[in-house]
Amino acid sequence: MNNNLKVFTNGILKENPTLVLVLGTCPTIAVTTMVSNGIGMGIAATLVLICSNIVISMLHKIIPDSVRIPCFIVVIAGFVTIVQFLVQAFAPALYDALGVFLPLIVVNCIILGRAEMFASKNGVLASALDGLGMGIGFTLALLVMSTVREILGSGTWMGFRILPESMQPIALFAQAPGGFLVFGLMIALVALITKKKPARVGEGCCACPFAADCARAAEGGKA
Amino acid sequence: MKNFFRPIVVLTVICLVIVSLLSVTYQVTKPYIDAAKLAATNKALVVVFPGDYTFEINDTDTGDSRIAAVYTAKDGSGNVAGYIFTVDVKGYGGTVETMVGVDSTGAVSGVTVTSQNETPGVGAKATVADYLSQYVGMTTSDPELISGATITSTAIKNAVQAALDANAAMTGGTAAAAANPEGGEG
Repeated sequence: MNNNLKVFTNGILKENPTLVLVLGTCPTIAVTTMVSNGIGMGIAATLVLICSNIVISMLHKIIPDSVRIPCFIVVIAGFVTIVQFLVQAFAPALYDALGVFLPLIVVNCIILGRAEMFASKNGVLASALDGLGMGIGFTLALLVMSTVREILGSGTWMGFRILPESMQPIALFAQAPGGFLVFGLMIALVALITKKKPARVGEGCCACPFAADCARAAEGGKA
Repeated sequence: MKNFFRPIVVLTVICLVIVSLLSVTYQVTKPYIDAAKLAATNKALVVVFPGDYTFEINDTDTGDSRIAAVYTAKDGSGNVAGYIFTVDVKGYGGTVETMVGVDSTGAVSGVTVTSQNETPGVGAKATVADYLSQYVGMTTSDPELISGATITSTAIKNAVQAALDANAAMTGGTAAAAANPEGGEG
């Protein structure tokens, strides 16, 4: 049970998918202009991550190695589309705000990465906990990032005005360059807290879902 | 042979299962999705044409490719009170979908932006209700533009002008509306 707890907490800080593993950067930068969008994206991705981790850990003995990536992607794409229908039906405002990034959860590296790195090697319970932990880690990272960006970039939080109207917000933070700034500073902060150096390009190969088929990884993973 | 067929069978079965799950979800959520879309359209219609009116889709071809849809606003006794135009114009970050209401006197009754992808904090300032309220009552599209958001505010200016032109063509061209200009007050 201790081990399961460790699996769960790993994703939140020590192996935080965005800030330590540096996966899923594109949606992170794109949706964190507003806190409500960040939370919505985080919850949608968490749901997909838990479901796909559970299904893939159940199926990993049946799925032949040669077609595992297409199988994973079909499962992930299926869950993403289901989540998309549900969001469109019951939270249309969120659906409009997330735009193209909702269907793009399919290609979010966090989900395929966890399927390949964890769910295909572990049991159902551990995989579900890994998905939940990673999802919460992703959501928390998005929450903190979008809080900084929305307050500095628009002067509001969850749509409520925080900074006085007379204060001109720093529009840069609402745009992509501000996203990269906040993202970099947060990676540095997490590295400081966990006393762990951020993954370098050379070390990144072992974490890559395609390492098994990649020539560069076979050469020792040095970039 | 087993190793040849197994991957094909497994992948096919997984695809079939996922596809059937998807079609079930689609069937279940479709009525809710349609209702949500309709509610969004109705909400926007009430914003651009305030008051107690019913709205009907009007399939007049305005000849302007930017105008995606036309709605007729009718009052309680069925008289035409004005028209609402859905206008798609090109902004800085893609298409800006606007809805413009024009009343029977040919003045703008309201403008709203239903979908946009403009720069937050810059162009997006020209798409909020506070800014768009200046259009109410205009008979020609002559707004104050926002410095720094020239492209977006000009796009909306053009959208309103397109709606006003289409309205002039429709009310001038159709006998019913021209013969009954007081219809709105009735």
